[in-house]
Amino acid sequence: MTGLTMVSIVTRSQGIVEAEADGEVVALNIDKGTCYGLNKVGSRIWSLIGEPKRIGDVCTTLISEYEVDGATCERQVLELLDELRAEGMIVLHEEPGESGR
Amino acid sequence: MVNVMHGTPHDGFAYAYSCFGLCIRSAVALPEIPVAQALSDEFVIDIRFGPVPDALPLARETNRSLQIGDGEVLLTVKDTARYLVREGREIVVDPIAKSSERNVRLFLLGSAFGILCHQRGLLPLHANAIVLDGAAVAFGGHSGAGKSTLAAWFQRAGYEVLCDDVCVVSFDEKGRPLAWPGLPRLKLWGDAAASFGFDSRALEPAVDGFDKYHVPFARVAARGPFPLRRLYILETGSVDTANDIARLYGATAFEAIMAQTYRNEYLAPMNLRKGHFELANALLKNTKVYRAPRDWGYEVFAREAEKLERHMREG
Repeated sequence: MTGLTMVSIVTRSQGIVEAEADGEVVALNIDKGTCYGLNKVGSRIWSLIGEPKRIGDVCTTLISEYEVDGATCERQVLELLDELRAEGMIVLHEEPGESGR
Repeated sequence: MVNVMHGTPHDGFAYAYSCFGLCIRSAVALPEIPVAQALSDEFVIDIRFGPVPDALPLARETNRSLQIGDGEVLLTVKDTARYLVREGREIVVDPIAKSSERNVRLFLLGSAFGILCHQRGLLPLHANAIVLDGAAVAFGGHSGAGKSTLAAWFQRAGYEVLCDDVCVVSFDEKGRPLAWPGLPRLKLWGDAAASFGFDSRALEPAVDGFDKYHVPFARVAARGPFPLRRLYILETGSVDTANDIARLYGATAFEAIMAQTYRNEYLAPMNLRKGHFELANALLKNTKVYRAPRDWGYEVFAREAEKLERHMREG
């Protein structure tokens, strides 16, 4: 599994059911039975990738909404998305005609 | 409503019971369940005894003890019985020759009813519950965490015990969780029963072949249901920590509900993880969940129980 980069396009996996609890998103991977809790910023990222989204675009939105510098934002977003991908919560979105990254 | 005294519209069910918010008609006596005062037309569960197939046609592969078919589950308990649980409204029991009748009923009222609850979209919790100010407070925890002993302590302290071992939760039209009365007995190990002054020789065994007994509730539980206000997860504490009772939030609270769900190992094979997650979500919107680590042992039991009692009363 190659790592995610700013140009990777990601979206939520199939088979995820989610709920809002105490203002934060809790997602369940139905196949694995694992629960994943997202903090406020994580929940915002989750809402942004409801449709397939380029990670760079996710960061652009976050930088406009939060007081964070570009490099820190990119590092933290990649860290979270790598973790969510390892947990099976998100997938790399393959655009039509693309042969994998 | 149908008056039991005048028979039921269907023949073959000599007994009618009421438990977990369900009306249960049975062909054989089930002395563990309270007799129904009146049999509602709604939520009627039929218990029959008879042959069940060795295997379900088109069963999704699970394992030898559990087969999941279309709307039906076949549970096999070694040396005891096979239970066919259908559509959340019928259980057919096929005892294995020479098995203990008590144990056949134990798994009927335990695992088979757990499956039936899951089929009906109820949330059975591995917990007991007591009544406080018109609401239910439940206490869960793994087997051996001291749930039943705590229920015995609350009963002696004058509280009404709603259920022990399994607390069945339904949801009203607004999605609020309601805890129902369960089997009106405490399930205590011999030494715990003795510590509360019960003579185990005078008690019904809970399971044939084990030092575990049924202690009838001191008073019949109120009819209920009661809104489920709190759920405490009992844990064995550590000498290294303060053992403070702490509220659980977010994913941790969801995981606690999953862990406390009775017969949760059946959810995945029954394709019910999504539905169960939604029930947990509804529960958590109304019920506060806490982890309650505590010291363990008879010498500190009363002190730890009083700590829990103070916490639940402080609101």
